[in-house]
Amino acid sequence: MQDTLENIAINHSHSLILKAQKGDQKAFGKLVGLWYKRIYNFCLKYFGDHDLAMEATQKTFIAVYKNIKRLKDSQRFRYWIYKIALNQCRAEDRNRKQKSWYSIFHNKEASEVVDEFHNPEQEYQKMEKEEIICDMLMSLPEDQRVLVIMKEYEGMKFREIADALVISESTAKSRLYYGLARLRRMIEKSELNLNVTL
Amino acid sequence: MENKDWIKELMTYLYEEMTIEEKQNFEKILESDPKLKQELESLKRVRKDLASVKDKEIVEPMTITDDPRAISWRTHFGTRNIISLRSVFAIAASIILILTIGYLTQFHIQYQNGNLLVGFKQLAVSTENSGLTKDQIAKLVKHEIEKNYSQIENRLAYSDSSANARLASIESGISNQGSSAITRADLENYIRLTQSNQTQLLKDYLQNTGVQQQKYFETVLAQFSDVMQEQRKTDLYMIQRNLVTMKENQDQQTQETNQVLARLLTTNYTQNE
Repeated sequence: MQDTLENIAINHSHSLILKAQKGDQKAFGKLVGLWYKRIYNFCLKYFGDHDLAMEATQKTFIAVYKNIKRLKDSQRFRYWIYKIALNQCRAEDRNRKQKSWYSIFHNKEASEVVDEFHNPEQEYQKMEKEEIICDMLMSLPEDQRVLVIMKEYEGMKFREIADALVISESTAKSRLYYGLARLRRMIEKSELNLNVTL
Repeated sequence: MENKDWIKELMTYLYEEMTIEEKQNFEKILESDPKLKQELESLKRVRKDLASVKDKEIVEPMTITDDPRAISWRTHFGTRNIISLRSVFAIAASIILILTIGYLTQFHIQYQNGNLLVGFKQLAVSTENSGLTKDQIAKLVKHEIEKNYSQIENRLAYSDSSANARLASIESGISNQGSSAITRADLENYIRLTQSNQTQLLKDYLQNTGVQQQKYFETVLAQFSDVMQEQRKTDLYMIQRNLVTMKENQDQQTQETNQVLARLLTTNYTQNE
């Protein structure tokens, strides 16, 4: 996660969390303002679908509002909110299985994404690199995808990830490694197909 | 990578979570193991590719919590307030829209003497006429019939005097011509009898006709009054329906205005960002 002003503010939102826990609506509003973009992007990378991401994000903040008083250690807010967001994403995913990341760009199933590189020249010309990476990310198994998102895009420590997912640090590292290795194979395959066609 | 034991070390090193000492030790291992180094480099390339996916900009919606007091809204002008700008814009736009439509259509709503009148431009029915009750109409009819009666009475009185004058002239003519077979008294009796019979007949006829006319007019006017009442009900119903349609159109326009405003605000926010 880059050191933008917003991220610095997020990392120093301890007093806001304490105020929100005491029922300060204004402080909670500011906390939402600080975290909304982060949680939305987490959900967006999880689903690959704007509507589902919006739904999960809103439910996350409703859950945060209802439960913030139960948070004993405000220093753990960061992993706590991601844990809620992940739970909301999983619940939303169960409810609306049919939607996929690919729907942003195409009306095709996510499972077909990897096989779409049979004509990479056309595909590569049409799709931006960002879109290809997103597709690849969506084709990862859910447990690996969550690890990649939390580590790569949310900049969480392995300890925080382990806390949020209720797994050991070793398991978190292994899952991330296998996720990255799988992504590497997909990238190599797409580049190879591209070179062969050219 | 074949050796799974290195996975945890590799990940910790890749994401810079090692202590200085651990880092130095691992770098020594890397120097001695080209395969491991190659693995590390390939993972770094994957990370670089992953970094090409940027965060999407998003504006948090007006209401986040289910608590009505906690309407959290981040304004798109750089400051964060707990006010609902969208609601204010929507209400203002709706009021302006209603006033404009009302002005253009000359919309009127009047309440007078217990009657509610709704219409466009000049009201077609005046308050007085539309407020006539059944009794008032019956009174008016009675007054007209009485007036008609008095005119007939006058006419009859005039006819009576005219007939007397004519009789007097005939009498004078007869007296000038001298006596004849029919005596004057007989003639006078005959004329008076005939005149009184005719007058009585005419009176009876007019009286019967007047009563019938009165009944007829009363019935007609009562029916007319009922029709008027029905018409008023129908008009009011139609006006009510038109108002409902106007309300629906207005709601739709408000919704569209809200969407346009939201889009504008989003664009503004994105530009500011």
